[in-house]
Amino acid sequence: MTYKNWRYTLDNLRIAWLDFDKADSSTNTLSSEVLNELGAIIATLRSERPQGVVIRSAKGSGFVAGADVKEFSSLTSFDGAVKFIELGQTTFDHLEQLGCPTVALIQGFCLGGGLELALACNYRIADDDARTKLGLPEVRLGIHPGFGGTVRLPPLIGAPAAMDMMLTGRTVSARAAQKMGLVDYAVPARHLEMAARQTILQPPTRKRAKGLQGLTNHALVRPLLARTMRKQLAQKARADHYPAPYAIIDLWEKFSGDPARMLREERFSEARLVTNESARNLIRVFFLQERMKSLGDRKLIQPQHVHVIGGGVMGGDIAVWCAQQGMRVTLQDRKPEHIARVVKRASARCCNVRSGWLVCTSSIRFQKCN
Amino acid sequence: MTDQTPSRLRRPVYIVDGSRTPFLKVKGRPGPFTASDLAVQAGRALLARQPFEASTFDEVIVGCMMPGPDEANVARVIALRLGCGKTVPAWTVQRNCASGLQALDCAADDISNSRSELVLAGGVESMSHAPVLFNHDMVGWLADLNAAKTFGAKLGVFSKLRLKHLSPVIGLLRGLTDHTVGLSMGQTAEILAQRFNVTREDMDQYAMESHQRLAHAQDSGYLNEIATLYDTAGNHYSADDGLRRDTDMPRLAKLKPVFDRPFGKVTAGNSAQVTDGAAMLILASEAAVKKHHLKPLGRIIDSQWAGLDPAQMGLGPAHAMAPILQRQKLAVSDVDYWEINEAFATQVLACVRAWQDAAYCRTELAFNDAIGKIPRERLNVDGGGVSLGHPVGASGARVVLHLLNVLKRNNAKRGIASLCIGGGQGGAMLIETV
Repeated sequence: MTYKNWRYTLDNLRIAWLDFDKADSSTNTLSSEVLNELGAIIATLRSERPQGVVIRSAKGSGFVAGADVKEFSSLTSFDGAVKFIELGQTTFDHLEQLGCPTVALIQGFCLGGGLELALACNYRIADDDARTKLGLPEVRLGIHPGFGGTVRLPPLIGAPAAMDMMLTGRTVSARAAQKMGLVDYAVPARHLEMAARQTILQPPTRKRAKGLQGLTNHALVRPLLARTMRKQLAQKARADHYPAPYAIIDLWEKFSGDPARMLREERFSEARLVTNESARNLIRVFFLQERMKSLGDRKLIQPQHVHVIGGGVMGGDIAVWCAQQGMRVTLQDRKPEHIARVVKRASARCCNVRSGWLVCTSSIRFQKCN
Repeated sequence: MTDQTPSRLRRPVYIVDGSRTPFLKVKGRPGPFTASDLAVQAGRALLARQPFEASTFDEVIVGCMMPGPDEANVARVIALRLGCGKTVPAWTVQRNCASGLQALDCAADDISNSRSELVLAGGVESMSHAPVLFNHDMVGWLADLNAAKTFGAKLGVFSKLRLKHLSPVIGLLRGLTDHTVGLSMGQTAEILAQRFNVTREDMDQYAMESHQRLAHAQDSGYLNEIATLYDTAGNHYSADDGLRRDTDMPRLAKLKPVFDRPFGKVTAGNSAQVTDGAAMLILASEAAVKKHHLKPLGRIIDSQWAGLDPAQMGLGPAHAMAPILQRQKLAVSDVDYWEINEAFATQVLACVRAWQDAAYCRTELAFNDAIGKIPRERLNVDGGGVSLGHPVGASGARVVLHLLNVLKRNNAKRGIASLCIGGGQGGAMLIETV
């Protein structure tokens, strides 16, 4: 059986490798076609009984960018939205209940529905490269995770970390994800396949929030935490303008003890949001941004060395940005104080650079030119 | 280029340009810069004004006495951070206090024998990052703990932990103590004071002059070899901060001896300051000078290394400079300016006095008579280690760079830079302007 968006191979150890390669697209996103095919593959796997399943991306750009925004933004009716969400939820549920070890092999971005797909696997293994980013940024489009993310994430990493990810939409690196228990292993790319193979052949204990982190999901603790979260949230966003984050807290507080019920409530809550005006506008902004990004021609000019005159706010940030892009930057200013300020900003921005060297990368040269 | 001293080197070696960081006094805690941070910032300033790319260098050689544990072969770290690229080899040299001079000497040799055309060479030391180590007892205890497998065994090991295990080994102090004779560098200076009759007043007078000269040099803008340093906290450093403008004889006289307590003469005031700093230079062959249209500052003519009694290591310059004069058939008066690194005021004075001492010159330096007096007004004219500090690995490169600067400023021709070296050695280099 061949599929349009997936490639499926069984190796000699009877491990099934599922390569996601969305047709006619440079990026993997989850459309109903993709989900239907995945459902069909899972049905086949159920009868084939492989040793284990590895899901990975065949795209260089990343694992999965999320649900197909074009498709779900076209869902104008509540019932239509529920149907699409249910398709994702059911498919991922079947994946979770497959009965053999399942591994998501994550390289590059793993966002929204992509991370929810990974959460439905038993294990997550991520490339520890800086390009690997995991997150649930739905809230930025005025919605929330809808393919079981709100259900699966809090028990895995504890409520504070989970809610922080979902409420802010921020992404985490592979290393940070490993530290918080979101992924089982963050390994260099050269070990990814071996890690997946060994995980399937000798499945380790599955991750779960333990101790204090585990307690944060307890029925007695949830109302207390939810109150604090709402208070903090109120300082940033109004419920009538941004209903999505409030819906996330509501879901978790009321239903976190009952996964099946929570999944159903997630579906309805998400369907309400998708069809809401606030989400529609945010999604429109998202499309406009995407369009603007595609307008610029990146190949037009590729400078190696940028000389910035004037280390004020503008000049300084241009210098830092160029350095972050790997260009060699020289900065000229009348006063060393100005240059010092820019160097400080540069080092604050680049402190997560892997090597940990002072002042960004080796490609930046900040100095006064005579 | 007529009237040049015949060089010991097979091919001419040019010093194209150089740059150094301000020397920053160590204030107890680790400073804002590691060794590679310092050298990279000095190097960036230097490279930014060159017409060639960093990847043009044939090699990078850096002198450093104690690279930090994260910067083994610190020269390679520096080369990569400077953007020299992965194909430019880099190596670190260590000859204690003259490591920076050793780097220049190695670069000159490689150019002289046609191995390299263009070399980035210099010295660096982040003395504030010198390691503090566990003592042997503690290392043994940790090994036992590591070997203990059961909880009971671990408990047994813990019961053996004593307070003495926690007393640290200060890497810097050990590095400044002679392995063979067991004397600290300051004590070797005390020995020289005794031998050459250097009084406390002599040393303090010399130290005060060092500060006065540095102050004058700073005020006159003579130190344009310095590139401003920037740290990650948003501070900048533009000048050597060890300078004490308020230094006078009564203040210096109040200081207590630090090495031979309580009766010695060598104090913190008349010794080199513990500092962080780097100096980087570009050396080139004639071919490289032509190819890249460079305007060299000067040439390296000769160099010399000497060994002597470790207990009198401060006399190293007297021993290293003498053979150069002999070989080049130069009298003291033929040399326009001198830079003798001020490890201790006493030690510079002892070197000067040794050359005026006929007996010493005959027995120790194989001269027929006294070599002659190095005039104070031609020696360390802009201060030295006592006022601006002695970041061990960097000083060798600094004295050569600054000597060139002094020669150019005074339209002079010939200069000798020299350093004493812990362990009983001396190093010297003869340079000329072009």
